[in-house]
Amino acid sequence: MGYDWNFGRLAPYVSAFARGTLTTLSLTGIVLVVGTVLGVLLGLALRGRGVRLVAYPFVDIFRALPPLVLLLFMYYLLTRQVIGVGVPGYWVAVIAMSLNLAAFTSDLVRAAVEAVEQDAIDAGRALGMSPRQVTRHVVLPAVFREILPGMTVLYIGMLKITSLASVINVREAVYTAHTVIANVSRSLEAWAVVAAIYIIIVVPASYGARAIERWAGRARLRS
Amino acid sequence: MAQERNTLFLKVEGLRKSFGKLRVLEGLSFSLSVGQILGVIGPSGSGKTTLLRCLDMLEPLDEGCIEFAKFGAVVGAGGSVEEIPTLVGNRPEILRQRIGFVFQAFNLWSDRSVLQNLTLAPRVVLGMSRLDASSRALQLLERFDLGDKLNSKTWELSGGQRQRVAIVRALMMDPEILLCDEVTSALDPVLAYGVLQMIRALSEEGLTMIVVTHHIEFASSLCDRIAYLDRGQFLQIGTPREVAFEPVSAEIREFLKVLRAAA
Repeated sequence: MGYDWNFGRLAPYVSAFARGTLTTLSLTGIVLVVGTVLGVLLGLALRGRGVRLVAYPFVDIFRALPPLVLLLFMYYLLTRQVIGVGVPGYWVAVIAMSLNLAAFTSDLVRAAVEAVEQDAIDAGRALGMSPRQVTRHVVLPAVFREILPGMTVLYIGMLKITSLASVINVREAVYTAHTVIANVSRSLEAWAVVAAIYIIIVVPASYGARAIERWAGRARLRS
Repeated sequence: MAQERNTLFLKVEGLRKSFGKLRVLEGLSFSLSVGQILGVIGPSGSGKTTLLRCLDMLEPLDEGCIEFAKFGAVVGAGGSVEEIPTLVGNRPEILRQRIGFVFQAFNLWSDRSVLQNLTLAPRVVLGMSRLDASSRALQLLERFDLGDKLNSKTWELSGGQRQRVAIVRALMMDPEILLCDEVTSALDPVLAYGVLQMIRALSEEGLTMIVVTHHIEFASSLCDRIAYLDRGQFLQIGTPREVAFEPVSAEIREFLKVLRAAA
């Protein structure tokens, strides 16, 4: 009884864990930007008469797929044998997870656009704004305020989902733990380090998300 | 805001508008000269708001046309806009920049401050610099005793203050006509008084206006003509004296009696 903890065996791999953490963060950062932009465009498209016939099935499919299945499918699809060019695992993960995030974001955006008060839109129109100006200056700011609480939840979830990229050999934090374990056979210590990495990143982010939720709630009450 | 009085500002012919099966406006025709103030009264549901929204092209016409002689443009059915004599395509926002609209529910952007509400359209639509827009906003607010509200949030204002800010927002675009849709209905008499005084000040400057109101005494003192709208048609258009003392129907007489009693 009693496990013999020995974090000292992991000392030579501190820089590897640091690199893995940076990869996790960079992968998450790119996915959040690409996924959000795509999701907003898709969410606006869901309200277009013709476009929604294509957009809705797209959104439903990507919301239905478990992230791991999507990741593996994309990994085997985006290869030289299938499409004639091999896409590195990192960018496969970016594409797959961005599409996943976009699908969930689009639904938030669609609902938020529908919730924008017609009075606010009419005010913009009455002041001589073009439809594009109304969207840019009246609708989108209101949409972003509305979706912010939901988006922060999605963002924190995406940070954790990026750990799945390890199955397609992306050298983020989880993959690094596998490599370390293969070398020094200290599974518990390695996973404790990875757990600590995620706790250090995610817990403060969650506090931030709650603060944003409270701010959005107050803003909604005043409007 | 100096304008050439008595020249034609706009002419409406055969204006029809329905929402689904509900016919709201039934072939309205009237004209308005520069500098004139037309008051529109009538029972709820008579089409007053729809009339103003059609004039501002916020709703497309089903039939009829609006000739904006002042702008050299004709608005036809379906929202088509033609600039006489050449066709420039469907860009109603170009005309709307010259038409001020004040909504019954103020329609201020609640997530923005007063300053932001006032300066957004001049900056975005007219390309005014932030500095110029801000100083014009402050100038107009001070003129109407709202100078200390420049940086307030809209939810910090009383109803009367919000409506006056809404009027200032419309004035920021230097409109050539102001459409006021029951701008005091959401206000108690004390707050309504401030708003009505503001409209009176604008009328004295010669701004062309169409004012939808339930305040018959105010309309009588302010307007050059009053139109009674019911079931989508003007039952009478005349001077305040003609409408007040020579109503063409018993229902107009009854309606005016109710308005006076409520005042």
